This record gives sequence, C-alpha cells and structure tokens, in this order.
Amino acid sequence: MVNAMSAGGRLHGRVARVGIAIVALTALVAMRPVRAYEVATVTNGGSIEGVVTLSGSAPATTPIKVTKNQDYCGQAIPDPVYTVDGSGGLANVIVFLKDITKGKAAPTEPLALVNSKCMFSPRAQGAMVSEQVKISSEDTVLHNTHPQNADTNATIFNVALPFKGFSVTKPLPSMPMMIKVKCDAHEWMHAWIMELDHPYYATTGADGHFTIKDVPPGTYTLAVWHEAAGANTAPVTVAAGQTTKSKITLAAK
Amino acid sequence: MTRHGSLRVVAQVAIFAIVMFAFISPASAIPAFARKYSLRCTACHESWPVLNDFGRNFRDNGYQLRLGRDDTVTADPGYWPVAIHVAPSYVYKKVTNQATDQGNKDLGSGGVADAGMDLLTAGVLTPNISFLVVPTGFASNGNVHLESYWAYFSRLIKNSDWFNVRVGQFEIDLPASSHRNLELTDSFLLYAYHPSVPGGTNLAGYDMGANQRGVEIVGHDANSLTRYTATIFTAHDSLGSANGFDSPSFYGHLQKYFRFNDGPVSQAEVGLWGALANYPTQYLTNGGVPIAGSGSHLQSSTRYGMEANIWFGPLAAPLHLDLVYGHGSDKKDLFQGTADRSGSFNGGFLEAIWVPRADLMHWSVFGRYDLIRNQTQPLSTAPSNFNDQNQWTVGAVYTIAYSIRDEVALHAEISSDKAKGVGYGGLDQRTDSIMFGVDFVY
Amino acid sequence: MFYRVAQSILLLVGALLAGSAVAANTGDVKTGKLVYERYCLSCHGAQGNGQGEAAEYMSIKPRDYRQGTYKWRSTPSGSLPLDSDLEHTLLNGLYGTYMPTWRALDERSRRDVIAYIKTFSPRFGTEKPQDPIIIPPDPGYSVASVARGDAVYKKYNCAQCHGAGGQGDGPSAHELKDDWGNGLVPYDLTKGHVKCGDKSTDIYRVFMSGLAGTPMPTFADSLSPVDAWDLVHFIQSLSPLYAKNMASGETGGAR
Repeated sequence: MVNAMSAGGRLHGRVARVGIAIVALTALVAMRPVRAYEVATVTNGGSIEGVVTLSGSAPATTPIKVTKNQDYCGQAIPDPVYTVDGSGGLANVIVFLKDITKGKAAPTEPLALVNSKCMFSPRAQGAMVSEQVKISSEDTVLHNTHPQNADTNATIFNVALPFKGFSVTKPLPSMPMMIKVKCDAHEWMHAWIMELDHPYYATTGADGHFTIKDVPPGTYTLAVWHEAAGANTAPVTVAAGQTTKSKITLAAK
Repeated sequence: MTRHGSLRVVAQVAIFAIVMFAFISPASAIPAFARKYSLRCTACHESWPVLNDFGRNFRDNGYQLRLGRDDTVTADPGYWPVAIHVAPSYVYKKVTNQATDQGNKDLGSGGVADAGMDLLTAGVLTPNISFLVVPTGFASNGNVHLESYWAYFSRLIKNSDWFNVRVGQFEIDLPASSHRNLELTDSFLLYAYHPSVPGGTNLAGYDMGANQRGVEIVGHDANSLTRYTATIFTAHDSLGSANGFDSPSFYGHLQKYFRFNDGPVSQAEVGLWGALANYPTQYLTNGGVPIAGSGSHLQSSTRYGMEANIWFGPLAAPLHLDLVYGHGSDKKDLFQGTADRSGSFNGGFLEAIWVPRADLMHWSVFGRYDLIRNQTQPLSTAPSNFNDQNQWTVGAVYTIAYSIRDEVALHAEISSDKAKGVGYGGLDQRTDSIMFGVDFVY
Repeated sequence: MFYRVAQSILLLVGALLAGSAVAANTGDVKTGKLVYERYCLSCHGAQGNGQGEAAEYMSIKPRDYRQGTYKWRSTPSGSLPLDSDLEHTLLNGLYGTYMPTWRALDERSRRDVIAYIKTFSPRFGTEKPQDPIIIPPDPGYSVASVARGDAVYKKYNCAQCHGAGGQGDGPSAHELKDDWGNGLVPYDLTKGHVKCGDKSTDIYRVFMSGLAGTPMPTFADSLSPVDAWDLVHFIQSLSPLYAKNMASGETGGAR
C-alpha cells in the first residue's frame, strides 16, 4: 500500500490503519464522479447535531518520541490519534454529508493550519475544493507544510515556515481528495484535510460533538471519517428549521 | 523476382527464424556501457552496431556522460567493463568461374562459420582519460589478437571539445564505420579496393576499414554536429620505413550535420574525407632479405571523397540513407614493376537502414550497393574494366530481446558480388552468399 | 536485380515520406513514444512509473511520471512544470544520477518525447502550469554577499536539514522520504556540482520553486530576492567547484 510506504516501521500499525481508513474514504468520497455543486440560498435549513463515539476502549498509545529539536519541541509529545473523552466521544473525526448537490456557499474565511509546539493544529478538518488555507507557524524552529494526495502521495505543494510568526495562504486543489499533510523536518507531524465539493462538513471537538448547519431539508447519508478508526455512515433526515440529533460510532482498530 | 517468389522467400526466412529461435536461449550478462549507464543498446545505436546521434556524441566524449559517474571510482561498484560478442551463423557461399587445377569450376559450400569472439573492454580510467581494448579471435585456429587498443584523452586544451587525442590501434574515422556496419557477408569495396595488375602484386594492400596504429586528433562541437578527425598512422601491412613515423600515412575527415524541425527529413549530413597512405618501395637487405624498418622511396596510395547522409522520419525510427563516393589512386611503383602507370578508380556505396516504427524497435532492414569502376588500369594493356565490381547486400535483423545487460538478435542476409575478369581465364566472377545467424552480446 | 532493389528502396522512401508527413502534423505523442522506447524506457518504465528494468539498482530512483511531480521547475510549488522545464532537464541531465544529458538528440525528438511523457499524468490534461517564478538578475558574487548569505542561511534555518556546515547532516536529515517512500538525504552542498544545475539562477530557482516530491519546500513566500541572492552566493562559496569555475570565468553550467 502506497500509504504504508511513506512511514517508518515504528508507525507501521497505525499507518496500516490509516491506509484502511483512506481506502474506506476513497469508497465514500474521492472516487465518486464529480457533480457540480450549486450554491443556493438556504432559507429554512435545519441543523445536524451529533456525537461520534469510539466503541470499545481506545488502543493504548505511547507518546511520540521527539527525535530532533528537543530543546524546543520537548522530549515527547502525547499521541493525538485517539483523543477520547470520558464518555467515549472521539475527537478529530471529520463528519460530512454525502450526495448533497445544492446548498450554502463556501466559507469565506480561509482554512487555518497552525504549526504549534511541533504539531499541526487542527489535526483533521474538512475543506471545500479550491479553498484557501492559511498556514502559519508559532514555532521558532523550521517547519515545512507539505500536503500530499493521501491516495497517491503526490505533493500538492510544499512550503517552508522558517520562523515564528510567518504565515502564507495557499489554494487547495480543485478536485475533491483526501489530503495528508506532513512536515518533513519533523516526521511525526501529520494533519488531515478532507476536500469536498460542498461545504457541509464539520470536525468533532474534544467531546466528540459536531454541528452541521444550514442543511436544506431532505434525507442524506451522514458519513464520518477518522484517520485510524476508519469510516462509517448513518442515514439522517433533516426537517426545515429543526435540529436533528445523530449518534455514530466507530470501532477502534 | 515475382510477387509470388518474394513471398516464398519471406516464408523461408520466417521458418528459419523460428528454427533459430528454438535453438537459442538469450544470454543474460553485461555489455559494458549499457550496464554501466543503465541504458539499452537502442540509446546509442540506431540499429546495433550503427551509432545514432547520442552514441556518436558519447563516443566523441570519450565514452563519458560527464555527470559524475564515469570513472572507476564514481561508477557503481558492480560495473565490470567487459562485454562479449559472438555471432554464430550459417553461411552458404557460391563462387563462379573459380580457377582450379581441374579447370573452370563453380563452387558452392555452406556450414556454420568458424566464428570468433570479440571481448570488448572499455571504460574511463579517470575523468577525461578513457580506454578500449578488444581482444578478438578465439576461433578454432586458436589465434587471439588485439583488434583494438587505445587511450583517449578528452579536452586536452582549455576544457574544449575541439581537441581530443586518441593513441593506439583503432579504426580511422571513416564515413561509415566498417566495424559498426550491419552487413556481415561482405565488406565495403571502396575501403578495401586497390587497383591491380592481372596476376601481379601491389605493395599497398591495406584496407582502410581495418584498424590502424596511430594517433588521432578529434574535435567536435558539444553535440557532435560539426566534427573533424586528423590521423597519422602506419600503413599496417608495410614492411616498415626508416622514418620517424614508420610508413607515415595520413587521414582526415570533416563532417557537418544539419537538423530540420519540420518536414519529412529530420537530419542530413555532408562530409569530406581523404587518406594518403605511404609505402616504401626499396629496402636495405641482409642476405637478400629486406630488413624491417629500412624501407625508403615512399610511394602513395591515396583516397579521397565525400559523403552525404539523410534521415527520413523521426530519428528514433528513421530511414537512413548513406551515400559515399571516393576516388582512389595507387602509384605505379607500388606494383613492383608489373605496371606501366599509376592505377586509379572511382567507387562508392549507397546504404539504407530502415528502423520501422515497430514496438520497441525490434526490427531493422538494411541494404547496401557497392560499386567500383576503374579509371586507369595500372597495366595499360589490361581490359579497361578489369576488376570492376558491383556488390549488393540486403538483410534484416530482428532483435529478440534487449535490455540494459544484453542483446540477442536474429540476422538474415543475402549478398552478391560480381567482379570483371578476375575468374578463370579472364571470365567474370560472381560470389553469392546467404547467411542466417544469431548475434548476441552480453 | 539492381533495378529491382533500387525500385524497392524508392518505394520505401515514398511510403516513409507519406507516413512522416502525417506524423509531423498530428503525431507528436506517437513519435514521442518511439523516442521514449529508444532512450527512456529502461529506467522510467513502459508505464512511466519510474520502474524500468534498471530502477531496482539505482539509489536515486528514476522519475515516476504519473503524478506530474517534477523537481526542476521554473514554476511555483505545486504547479506543473512548463515544457521548457522538462526540456531543461533533458538538456542538462541530473548530475550524480543516471539521468544523462540528451543534448545530442534533435529538437524534434526532445519535443515529441516531452509530449509523450506528459501523457502519463492526467494533470497535464486538466491543469495549466502557473506562471514561472521571476528571477531578478544576479547582483554578483562577492565576499560581502557571501557573509550576508551566511546570516540568511542561519535565519532561515537551512541547517535544520542541510546542517550547520552545509554537509546535509542537520537534525532533520534522517528519516526523510520522497513522495514515493524512498529515503533520501539533504544535498551535501560542499560536494561540488549541484544536481539541479550549477548556474546561480539554478540555485535561486530551487529556493523559490522547491523540489516537488521531496522534503525541500519553497521559500518563495518568506525569502526576499535580495536575501535569496546572498544565499545563492553563500551556497556557491561552500562548493569547491565554484571557486574553480570563478577563476576560469565560468559561473556555472560547466560539465
């Protein structure tokens, strides 16, 4: 598997899981024929509020051993892959609707991707195709932000962040795809951006909760994706002006 | 030949090719440069062994690519600068009007030729000093000799490609190399021909296409589109003269290539060449036996002419036509008193090499027509057309497999040579050959 | 017999003339395939995946053409290369690798093979290369510029990968991978020739375009042209070859 090749043996298990997750996602999103998304005013939209929980106990993780710039980055960093709260809520899950072809406009603010304390923040997020992403660094060490097509590992761009306070805004590709972001200078740094052709996506917070707003009434498939726990879907019906509750589980892998 | 007849020939060739195929298993070892640079034979050879543009430039650069991986230190440790070339083949040859003790006979004989082997070793000793040593022979007579051996010093002056020097035994830079030609059953008449007196001798017997010992200066532009060579060599079959450079002989060649970015012609070339070989005609003797290296009274055998090449279609799969013309003359004294004047002739050849647009360039088809017409017979009473020659060759090569490490090809060829008045009782003599072979290098 | 042979040759010429006249107008990709098969296939592979028969034995792997990712570009990070960028690599080769210079080939062959190589990546059908990076004129090598370049090298943390002395031994020099998962090390700037070209503009371009597919990022958004030229001169000062070339009046490209 292409993805497995890109990581060291130490991370092999997790990477394999990521690979499975990407395959699952590919089935869900990326290879779907691209249908033009139409922007329209949503007057009586509903909301989807929900929680993604991890079934079973989270696999034990060992802290990431920092191998360079320890004076700045520290000796170890907690592994953020499975960030689960007391009630099982799983953070950093991308939640999105499938097969929505008409609705609200793309967000006007660029996406943010911050290099902070030798990690990317946020870990995972959705994006609309061609959206701008503002990449910034709060660190004094050199970072590089190197997004790649998660499917082919093809470089999208690779920008240097040589010093603290530097930021740059770059466009994302015009085709929907899963993007894996890495920092070559600090090989443990990873982030995920799911590019969709519509703006109906959210990322779960520390408690596993998410909200998707301004959804035109109708029945959809709600999909979730996590870098290690993989993907799942659930049907969801949105009524005008109403908030629909949803609960989806992912199994730890 | 009727259409029906040519189909029959094609069928016969095809059957033979299949039989040959069944008998060989492709060797897999390492032609020196291909392995060294991980390139297939096609990178340097239009149709092996004829060089293409890239190959010519590589040769002129002293077999270096100059990207930091040429010499024995920077090349991959696995590089072993040795390749072996063998071409087992069946040849049937028929000669007419052969003089025998039993009178005039036509002779025909065939068999698998007693093939020898070329052991090619070449490489770069240190940047800009390269070498080539080719022991050849190894046939059943057991003889092995050095076909070539030379050292090549590149960019001797100011890092310029216009002054490189080769020292050793090598083929002079002929318009078409007689060591890199596709035809195996005949040689270039223009290079080997010398006027002769019926039944007499000529001291100048050298074949320009054979390797000569000497020093060659090579100059070329970055892409070898304009190039010259100037060579001083020893006429190798001479007994030797008492000169600072034994039997001094000279050769020069000037070439210019032209490229066309549109139209059916992709490249053309014109060139001038000339050779002046000198042979001693008198010697000091000891007990009547000439002393080697004591020759004097040098007499010349001169050749000069021009060439034109044209490539139709893409250079990656071209139809390449090569026309070479030459005028030759051998001085009267070279004939040792059997001639009453100098002899001269005109000659040349037209060669065609076609690489069809087939997948991976597996095929090449070639043909050559050689012509010799005597202008002045050294013996004024000899028939004016004595030893005039016409020769044609047609053949095809099918490369079964090639890689960065080997090549194996089937080779089929027919040729016919007609010479005036050299057969029994002054009759014309005709030699026909047919050949099927497998040619492999590894 | 001679006349028949001559006749056949003439027929052949005629057939080929007809064939190539068509090719010149419409068949560049088709002709490019022939060029590719003749020269490129042994390393880059029939599928353009960089997995030709020779690839296995190479420490620096041949380019996989399928992603449209090229190191040597005049265009910004993330952009496809221009045709002239691909031709630049054909003309100059890549020093220290098995990619030779293909200068000796005719322009037509180079043009055709570039057209063919582009067919391996669908990106060339859907994307346009961005405008090339503007490279202002080299203000000239000087000791003062080298000293300023040394400061730029430190400020921009080049040592993170390339090491304090430029020997490719910085803290992040290990465990680096390219897009294909092949390990690679940062270039040792003290070695001599630079892989992507020895001209000062070649080095400048690398800072600004990055080397796509490798960890080398673009500094176009953070590095000013003035600082970049000083950095070029500092990099040149690290190379033993450069001093020699300066002496002989050649500022690069000497091969």
